[in-house]
Amino acid sequence: MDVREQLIDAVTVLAVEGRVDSTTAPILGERLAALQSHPGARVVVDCHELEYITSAGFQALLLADRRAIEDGHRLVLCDLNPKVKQLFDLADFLDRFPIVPSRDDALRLQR
Amino acid sequence: MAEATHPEGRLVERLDLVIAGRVPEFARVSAAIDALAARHGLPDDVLADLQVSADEVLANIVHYAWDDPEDHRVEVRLELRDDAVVFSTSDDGRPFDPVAAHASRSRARAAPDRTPGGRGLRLVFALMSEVRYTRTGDNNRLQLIRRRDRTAMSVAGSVDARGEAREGENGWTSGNS
Repeated sequence: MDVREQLIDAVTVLAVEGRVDSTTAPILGERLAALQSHPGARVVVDCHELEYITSAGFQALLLADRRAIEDGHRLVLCDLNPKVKQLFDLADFLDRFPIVPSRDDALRLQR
Repeated sequence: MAEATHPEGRLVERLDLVIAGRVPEFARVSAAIDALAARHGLPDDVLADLQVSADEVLANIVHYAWDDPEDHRVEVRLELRDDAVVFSTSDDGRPFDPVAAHASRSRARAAPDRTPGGRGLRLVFALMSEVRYTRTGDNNRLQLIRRRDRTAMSVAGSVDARGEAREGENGWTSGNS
């Protein structure tokens, strides 16, 4: 797994590449927590290059979304490829996050 | 003789490895699955299903099978057969039958699954063609079967016949389409 960060109009876009599993999910979780350490910090997770995600990764996203909710907003996910979308669906997570098709949609939602 | 009548077909390749009961060891299993997939041209979709399921099953074992996982080992067997990939684990942890657990959770599906490892198991059962569990002596033995032909989907212990045949699953070997 690799993560790339980009700050666009005060929103941090975290592009996650590769595999989020038991080994890499803690790294993703730490990264998200660090990005959310300032009140009002808005984060978008871009899943375009995400190969797959396991329940350890879902747990990390869920915790990040809880932090966002406590801070008065949400963690927004965008650009899920068909495989990743299938995994979200099978794990019953499609309705648990704001998920939008494109990065632009996500940025609009976070403004 | 037994090989000729194996339900998943002729054995093409078998890999055995033993890992210590901790998460960083999972990378060895993941690398073995990648190597098998690369050697035999497994479709990306099958590879992802295997990787996700292996991670979930190993995580369940390491997190719940023992009080002192670091002092224990998980035996892993990866088999490529003509009709399926079979991923098997054996551990000497406390008895846990995921097939029975999944079947009872599915019957009570109105309630959200908040049990430890529940969501991961749900993924495994949805992604694999079949899951088999046996308790042999002091060992849990789990077999995950991902068949080449997804239309032949059946899950032992009933439940969830998701996963219709998908595109790009023509064969295991690159020259076999």
